[in-house]
Amino acid sequence: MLGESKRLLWSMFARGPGAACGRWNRCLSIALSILSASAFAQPAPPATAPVHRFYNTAANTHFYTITEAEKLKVQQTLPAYIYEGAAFNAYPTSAATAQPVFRFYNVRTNTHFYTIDAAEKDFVAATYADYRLEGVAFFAHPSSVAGTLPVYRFYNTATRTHFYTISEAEKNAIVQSQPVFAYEGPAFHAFAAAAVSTVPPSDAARFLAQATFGAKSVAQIDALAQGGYRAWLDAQYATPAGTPHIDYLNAIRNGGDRVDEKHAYEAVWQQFLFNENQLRARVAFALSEIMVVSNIAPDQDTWALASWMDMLYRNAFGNYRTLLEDVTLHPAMGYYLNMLGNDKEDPAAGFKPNENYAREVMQLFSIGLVQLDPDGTPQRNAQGQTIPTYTQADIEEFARVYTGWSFAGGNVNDAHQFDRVAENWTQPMRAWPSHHSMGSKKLLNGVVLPAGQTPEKDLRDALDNLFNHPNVGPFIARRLIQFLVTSNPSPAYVRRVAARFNDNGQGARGDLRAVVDAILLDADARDVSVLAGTTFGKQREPVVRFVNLLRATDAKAANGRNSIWWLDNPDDHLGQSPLLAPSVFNFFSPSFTRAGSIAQAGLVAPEFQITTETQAIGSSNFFKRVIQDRTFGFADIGRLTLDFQPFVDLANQPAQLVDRLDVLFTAGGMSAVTRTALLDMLAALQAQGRSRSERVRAALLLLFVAPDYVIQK
Amino acid sequence: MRRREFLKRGAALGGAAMLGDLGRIAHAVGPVNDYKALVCVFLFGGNDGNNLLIPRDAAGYAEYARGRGQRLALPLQDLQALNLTNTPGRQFALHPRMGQLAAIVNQGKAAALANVGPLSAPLTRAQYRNQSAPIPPNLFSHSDQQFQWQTSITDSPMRTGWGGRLLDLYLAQNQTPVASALSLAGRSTFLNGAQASGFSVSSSGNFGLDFYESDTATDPMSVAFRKILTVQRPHLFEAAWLDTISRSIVTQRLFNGAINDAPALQTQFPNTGLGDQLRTAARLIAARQSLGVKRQVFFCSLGGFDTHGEDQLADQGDNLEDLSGSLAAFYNATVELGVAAQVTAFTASDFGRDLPANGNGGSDHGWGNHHLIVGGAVNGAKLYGRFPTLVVDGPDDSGGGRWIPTTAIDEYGAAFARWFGVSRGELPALFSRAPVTCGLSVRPSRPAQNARR
Repeated sequence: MLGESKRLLWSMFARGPGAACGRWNRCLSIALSILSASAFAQPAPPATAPVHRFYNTAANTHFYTITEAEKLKVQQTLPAYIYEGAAFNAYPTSAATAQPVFRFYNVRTNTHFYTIDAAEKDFVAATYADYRLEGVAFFAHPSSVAGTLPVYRFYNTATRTHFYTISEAEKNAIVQSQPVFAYEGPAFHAFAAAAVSTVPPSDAARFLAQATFGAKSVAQIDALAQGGYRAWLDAQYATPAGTPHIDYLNAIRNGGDRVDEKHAYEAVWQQFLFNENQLRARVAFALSEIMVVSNIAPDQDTWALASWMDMLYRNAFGNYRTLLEDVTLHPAMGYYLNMLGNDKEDPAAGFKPNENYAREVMQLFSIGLVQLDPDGTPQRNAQGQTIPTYTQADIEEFARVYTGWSFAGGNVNDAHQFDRVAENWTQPMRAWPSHHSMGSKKLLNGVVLPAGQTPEKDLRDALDNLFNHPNVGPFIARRLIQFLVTSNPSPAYVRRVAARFNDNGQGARGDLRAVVDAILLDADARDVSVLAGTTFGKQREPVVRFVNLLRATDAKAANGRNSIWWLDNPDDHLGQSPLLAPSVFNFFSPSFTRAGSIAQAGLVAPEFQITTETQAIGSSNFFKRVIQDRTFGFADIGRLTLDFQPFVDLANQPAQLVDRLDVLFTAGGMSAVTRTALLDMLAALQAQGRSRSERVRAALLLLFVAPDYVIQK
Repeated sequence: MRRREFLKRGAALGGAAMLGDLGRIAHAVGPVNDYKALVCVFLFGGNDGNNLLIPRDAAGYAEYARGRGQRLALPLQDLQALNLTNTPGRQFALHPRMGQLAAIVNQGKAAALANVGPLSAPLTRAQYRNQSAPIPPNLFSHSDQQFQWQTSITDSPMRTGWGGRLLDLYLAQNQTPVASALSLAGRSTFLNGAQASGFSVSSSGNFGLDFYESDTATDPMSVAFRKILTVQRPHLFEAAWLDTISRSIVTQRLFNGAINDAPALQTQFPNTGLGDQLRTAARLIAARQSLGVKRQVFFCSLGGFDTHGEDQLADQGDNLEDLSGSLAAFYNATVELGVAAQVTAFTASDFGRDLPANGNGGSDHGWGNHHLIVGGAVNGAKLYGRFPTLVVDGPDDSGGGRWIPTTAIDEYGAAFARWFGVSRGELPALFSRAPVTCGLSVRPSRPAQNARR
């Protein structure tokens, strides 16, 4: 072993390929999914401790530490390091027959090297000036003893660093598919990572608040804590999008009912409540608030709304360019922002193309009003003013691109059918060349579409023009971060996510799955030290709070459906309801700030735009009614019943009940004030002889209006 | 950091200097002993003013009909004629479905203001086209133009609304400061001043929290809730949530009590969202004495004016009928309450719309717009400002039939500030520069009315 190891170590200094591994993304994803599987191996001996593994995104290398304090410090201070979980278990201090594993720091590559071989340690220390011996990393066995497994060592010829794994499957996958990694054999022997959480449960619950409509159960939190983020995310990405909203309407119709507006809302809530593809649902909900169609008028076709939601589900983990085109050509959007039936100019009659879609697709769906730096900060000219991304003249040029489109299904070569074609609300719009403005069009950044292009080619070129604008990455990154994680992301956070939008690691632009990954796994999102701060996080949207309540109480209706329709009234409902935004500007603006300390700190608080005194009271009363009544629905058919029994079972152990509420709803972050208030109240209610159910409902209601819960950190 | 620069810039231009000036003026305005209320009705989406106020003399109507084309021109015979007293040689009308408001104009209790909008400085067509004079940023964008209308600031990052800044001057004279700036339509920038802060009240008139009885209640839930409410939270968002809830609770009793003590209102309002808002505003005005307020600003709104599509004529008609009926009822309610000359309502909107129809038969975002001012103090039956030439590429056109305003928003606002009692010399501190008067005349109420309050 010694000889082989030394030889391979020398090879590290031979002139290898200089280029970095261009496929790190893929090898990381393989590595991670296998790592999380290893968490279920047999338990390690109690004297051992987990050795934590980090992926350094800047250097494309891995780092290992057994020290909890060091792990915490890396998580808090080195945003480039993504925590991957426990790699294996080893001894933190010397133990019988175990030997020290030495750790070197390579000052040139900023990476670490580990060896159990004392001779190799001495050789490296004596030979290579770049390598600084840092001491003993942990203790392991030089050869196999009972209960141990080999930890395999690889040499990455691109980065000229070492990689270690205890997972046989991961080793095999790398050997087979990652030629840049030279396999060097077992480095030492250690224990499979104990079947302990790779993630603390409170962190897992916090992750679920960001990635879903909130934790549904303790079991769900524990599963994530044990399986790790990677496996959870990959399972979510693997969920089929399907066409659940259209399916819902079809089921209504096939059951003999007349489909109407309210069924479109039911379809949305049905997915939020009962579909376990929660990440897809949450991202689609966010997208529905960035690319807004609304039935507030109400004049949208019900099937159009369902098809629209299906489209967002389909694209939630797809490519933004596809999403942009699907949004543009969807008849719901066509109707909402008037691209449907938008005719070419007719100077004699005094008509010009409709500018509505041309404007909003730029301002709200893609590039925004002002030029952005890659970190989302507005650029400023010498006078300190922001720089517009487009002018009215640009709008008029783009408006001509979006002419000639109407419902699918007609004869596009028959000019007369353009505004007479039968309505088709679920298929993408089709173009009538005779109604398309045929002149050349000047787009952004000097792109000119020649005259005489087909409507389809004009559209593709125009959407490409927007898609390739450098603003899109930071614009979309910031908006999605605001919906999922925090209202005020650091510029560096936006920059990192935008970079993944610009290149998913495999050269593709606009990969939303990579963007969602980057948002949720970013050090800023996962860093728990922000919990002690005063600005990180966001207000949970009222709709998210309501879904959270219904899921965590396993709300169900006798017919397996729901009857949730209009929650947009702030006086006695939520002031927010899917598909019912007041305008294309959504319920709230991403730049809204609340007068007072938030504005004075230069921060924004988007959700607070709808948090008026009326809405704060009205929505609190709404939660009170639902919790008090244990039921909710606009109709008896489809009325949901909430199940408080798991909480009621804990009611005679108030501390446990409050702990349960804390884990489920506040990710273990409940303040001492709220905890004490709840415990005192529970004791007083018990002393009054109130039933267990009454006590539970009082506690839940109080938590739902407490800032601990309303503000997600 | 750019953000910090941004804030510093804001402070230098507006924030700190403004605060100092306002403090000085607040002293200067002196005690007032009468009651006045200003009511903003914001028409969200950009009302098509070209079909709100329409020329009806032969030449004017011909120009209008030509410019709008068949799809948007309203028939002459349907228009609601106005008998304006200051437009020699020209005649105007309101939209066909605004008969109730036209009658109030003709009684001399309402007026119109032509072609008002955001301006950084007076601007000609030539200057706009060569960009040789300051032009407000992000024209034709809903969010930006709503913001500019509500702040009346086009060229600095100051984030306060002019309704709130106006109230800042009088806040100290209102016994119940929280009842000074009242929104019946949710959050608005308009009502947020340096000190004044818009308070949102329900248009239904129900203000209560169902599960918290009072600050002295001893039931376990009230005790626990009070504990959660009263302990300060360091997290800014948590503190903001508690602040919102706490403010609501304190004031719900106040408003409920005041409204219940006030005389019942006989005037019937339309059964619409705007009707509800204005009825509640009227009920709160009726309660002004128990609330102890001298100056109030209300914010109401009506949405659905972004009429790009083929439904423009129908949708705008429905909306304007609502506006007309609700404003007329509101005026009648102020007459009933004996405060007609102490309450002035006015309209605002994102922007006007362009003159020609678009490919769907609707209209797109414009700029300058016409607005209405209603109240017993209004020197009514008049058209203020300068009515634009309704011709694409004419002298008032920025391009495509979007009028370059000839009256700035701050001139519009200055008329109300003067009516409230702000002196001419104090206007620059309110509006960041000295607004030229647009001639809009809202007469100070007579001492007899003051005494009656």
